[in-house]
Amino acid sequence: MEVDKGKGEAEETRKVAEADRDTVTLKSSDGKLFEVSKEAAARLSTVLAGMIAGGSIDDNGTDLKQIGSEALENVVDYCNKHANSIPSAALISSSISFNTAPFKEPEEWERKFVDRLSHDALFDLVEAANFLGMERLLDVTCHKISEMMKGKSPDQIREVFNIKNDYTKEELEEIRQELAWAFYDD
Amino acid sequence: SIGMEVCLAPEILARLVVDDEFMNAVTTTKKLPNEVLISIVEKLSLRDAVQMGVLSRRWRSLPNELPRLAFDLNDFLLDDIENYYEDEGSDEELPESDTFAEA
Repeated sequence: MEVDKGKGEAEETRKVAEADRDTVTLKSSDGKLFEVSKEAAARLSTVLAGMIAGGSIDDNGTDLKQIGSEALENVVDYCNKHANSIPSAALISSSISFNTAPFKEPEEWERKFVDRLSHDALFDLVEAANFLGMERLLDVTCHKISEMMKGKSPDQIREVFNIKNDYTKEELEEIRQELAWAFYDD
Repeated sequence: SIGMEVCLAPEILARLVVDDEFMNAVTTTKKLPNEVLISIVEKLSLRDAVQMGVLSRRWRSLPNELPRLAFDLNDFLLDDIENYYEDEGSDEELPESDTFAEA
């Protein structure tokens, strides 16, 4: 998906079809260019939708200084895959009773999409999704992280997610007692 | 010969050393904003979400900000649930796990 445009060619593109282009070009913090369908970008990202509506999209590459090329490539990949996927009936009707703001379980392709990511890539993608206001992608990546937390001991989780235990020994004991009902084993 | 002396601040020097802690710090949950951590906690059962409170102060404060909670009735009605339904003389099936209620 990487676009390598000469300056003249980019200039040309700009003149010919500034308003008519059906893609937007995004530029990562490390200067790589990615092209994504305007429709998908606007539908999946509130931030990009705002930029498109507000005319602040740069055809030479809209700067996204907070997002590295690997994360941006995943964002664009997600947008493209999403554009191609047909929403399944199961997904739409999966809400359980009482469920007011349902999180719809990831579809098979979304699961595969996050499963292949390294730990670092997953966290970078979470950040990118949050920055771009991509609610569904944020949900799917956070769902993956929540699954990684399940069934692990507090110490294991702290290690995997680099969380510093900032309780004193006494506090920790107090909290464990207070939360005893939530623990299966202790 | 040209002598060159390089002075580095200790914290930069520490980063140059391949240091696990620093490498981890790059992709830690620390730099994620609360709304992202909430989105993670939100996808856990209430029981798991509360358990995460032992991780650190920050994780403990998160369930307070949840827009909705996932209650698993089995968390509250462990052993007596079958008797409960017998006593009621009800044909009702066990409630489905992880139903949602407004917080």
